[in-house]
Amino acid sequence: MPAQVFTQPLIEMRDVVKVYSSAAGEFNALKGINMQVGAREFVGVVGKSGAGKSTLLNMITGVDNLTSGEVIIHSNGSSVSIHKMSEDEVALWRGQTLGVVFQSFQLLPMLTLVENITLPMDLCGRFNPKQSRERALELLRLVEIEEHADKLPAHISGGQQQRVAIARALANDPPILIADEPTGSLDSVTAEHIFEVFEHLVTDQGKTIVMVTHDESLAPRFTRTIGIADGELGSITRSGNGFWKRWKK
Amino acid sequence: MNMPRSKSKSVSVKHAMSTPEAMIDMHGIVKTFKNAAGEFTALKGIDLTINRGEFVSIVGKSGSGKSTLLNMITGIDHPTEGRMVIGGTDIYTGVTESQRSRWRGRNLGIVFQFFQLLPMLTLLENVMLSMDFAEMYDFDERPERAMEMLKLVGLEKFANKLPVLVSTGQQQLAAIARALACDPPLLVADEPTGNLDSKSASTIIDLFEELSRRGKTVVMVTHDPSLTSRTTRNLIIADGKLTADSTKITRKKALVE
Repeated sequence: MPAQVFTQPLIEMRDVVKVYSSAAGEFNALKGINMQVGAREFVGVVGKSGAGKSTLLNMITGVDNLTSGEVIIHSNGSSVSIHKMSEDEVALWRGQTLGVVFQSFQLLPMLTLVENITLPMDLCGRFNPKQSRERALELLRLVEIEEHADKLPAHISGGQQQRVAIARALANDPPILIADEPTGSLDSVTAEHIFEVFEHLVTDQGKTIVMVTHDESLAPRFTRTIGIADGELGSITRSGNGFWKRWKK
Repeated sequence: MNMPRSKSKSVSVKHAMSTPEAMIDMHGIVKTFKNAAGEFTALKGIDLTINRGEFVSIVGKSGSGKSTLLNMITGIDHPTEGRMVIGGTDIYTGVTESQRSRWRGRNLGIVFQFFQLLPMLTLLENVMLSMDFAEMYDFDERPERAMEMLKLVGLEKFANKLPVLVSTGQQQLAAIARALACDPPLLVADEPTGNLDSKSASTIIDLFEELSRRGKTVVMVTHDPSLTSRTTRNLIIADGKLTADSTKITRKKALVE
């Protein structure tokens, strides 16, 4: 996939610091992160366990508070500093702007696949019930699992469940998808299929994706790979057209 | 502990003969899985009655059939043969999937090993969600009811937090609050402590004991034999058959007293 050149970032992190305090003392999980992601980029954040990858994603999604710094999302003609919004505002904004995919799928076991996808639409109130079912079926078709629409998650494989989770993340047509180790609990063949789904979402649907992974072999598949270690961004690799540029922070 | 009663509406599924004390009555339950490699019979004719207010553990090794048995009780999967009557309702005879789903929402609370909370909703919203699905309680009553459930499990201070910001033990307590939201008579838990440290696990079992004391029927699948000392009845399953059934009468009496 060729590297994208962007003029206006979609996601901007400015000097983001995250410190956790506990009885054992303080732990500095992110040490001043500066990062920009442009529209239609497929960015991989690669690092070992404990490096700060998931904390970084939590800062972008606004799921957790930052200690200092700022995260700004420039989308739909406006710029939003997400950590300056109230909890309710950020929840509404998140529902419309971000889709999140997790390693463990997190589908509700008592709802059918199509119901799992209509749920975020119902919560966001963007589509009426008829529209939301039609859209859910369309999304299931997009991830090639439409024939199982009325089954419960327990009746399909892990790879199929992750396809449903991706369809759910797309429910409110967000411009940005955030994925936290989405292939981490899948076998290699299934993981490859899921990764291809993400690639198509960038090339065919124009989505911007930030994916955390500990699998360094995926680096050539991203438009950009950012290494993270001990809460700091280490190396940035831009891939495309047979050459890589590598530079240190 | 305050357990407000639900405003339940009748659900149109068949009522079957079963003793009034019986919460679960299963007869000749067989489950056979078929695939390209052939057939595998996971449950080989299970007959079992569980009475109201019992706290039952089902213990067995991996592959013994314990989760399959639980899936038969919840209606997540269907038996190949046999009859399953829960709370006087025959849940597999002449019942459509959507009727069963509606029945399940109002009569069963289910707790999973990995909690299955929606990560982008607060704990309070996660608890409210099950009332929305089951269309239980007036819309305006739901936040208050959800908060009552969070109080019940000791999480009211965390009501507006997202799941990722509380501990795994607290996530499981929130999942139990969600399971209780529609005031079901039966709580089913599949390895509810399997992903928790021993202290958090003990808190969860304390809560199940209390719920059982208050009249809920609790059925818990576990592979941890140490938990069976806390339940009123222990079933052992091996190779698709129930091989032991011990009711701890003294403990049951103590609970009643």
